[in-house]
Amino acid sequence: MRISTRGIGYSAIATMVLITLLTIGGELSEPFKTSLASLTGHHWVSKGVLSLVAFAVLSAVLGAALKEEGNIRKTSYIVSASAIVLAAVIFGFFVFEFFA
Amino acid sequence: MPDILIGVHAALGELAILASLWVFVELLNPSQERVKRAKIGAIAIVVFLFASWVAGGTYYVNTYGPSVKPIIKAGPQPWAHAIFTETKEHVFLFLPFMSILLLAIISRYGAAMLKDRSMQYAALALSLAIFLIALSMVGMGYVISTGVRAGLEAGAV
Repeated sequence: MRISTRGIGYSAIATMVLITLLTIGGELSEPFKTSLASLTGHHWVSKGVLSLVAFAVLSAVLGAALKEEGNIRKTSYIVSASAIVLAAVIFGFFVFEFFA
Repeated sequence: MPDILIGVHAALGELAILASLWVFVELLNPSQERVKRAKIGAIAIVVFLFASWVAGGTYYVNTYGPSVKPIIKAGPQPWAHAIFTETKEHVFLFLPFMSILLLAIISRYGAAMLKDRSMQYAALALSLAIFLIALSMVGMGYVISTGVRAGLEAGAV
């Protein structure tokens, strides 16, 4: 099975969204953060493990489902923009949380 | 004495930054040789980022959390942890996945880049995004260090 590059790209986006949701969710809900920590002993390690698993599974699924042909430049631009926007969301969230 | 792992984490991260800049420069005007070197650079980014993740993660869990975080939080710059460490530790997780995509693009479309500029732009955009986000990690690391120093100077712990 050949994993398509577009599949890897969209898996990277989904994984970054997952990391952002786990991060914000963990800060807003202490029980959720505790349950994350209970998986590996530390909430951050759990986020890392979950992101690796999600990326591997999604790459296999989307990589098989999406054709290799397609606009790779568009995929790359969306991944790059998503990373910068999601990083700004995480930074903005922690700024808000600190001053709120 | 500072934990050696924080130095290893920083050094590996900086090597990944240099590698991403290397890939970007090689692909500005691609040739067969430059694409070959860009692929080596992309492999280096993946290796350095994953190694930096392991080194930094081990330090974060075993040393930073129990010993360093309390100093920052009790000092005059608690925001150094609350905003910058929290952001850094989570945004860093984006980088390994972006680097895998960059390697996939260069591996599969390296030859096509010589004729198709859209493939070249795909790799350029991604290597630039990796470079900028990884560079922001260095800046945040500096802010976190000032938070520790300020806490120690204030006799926070």
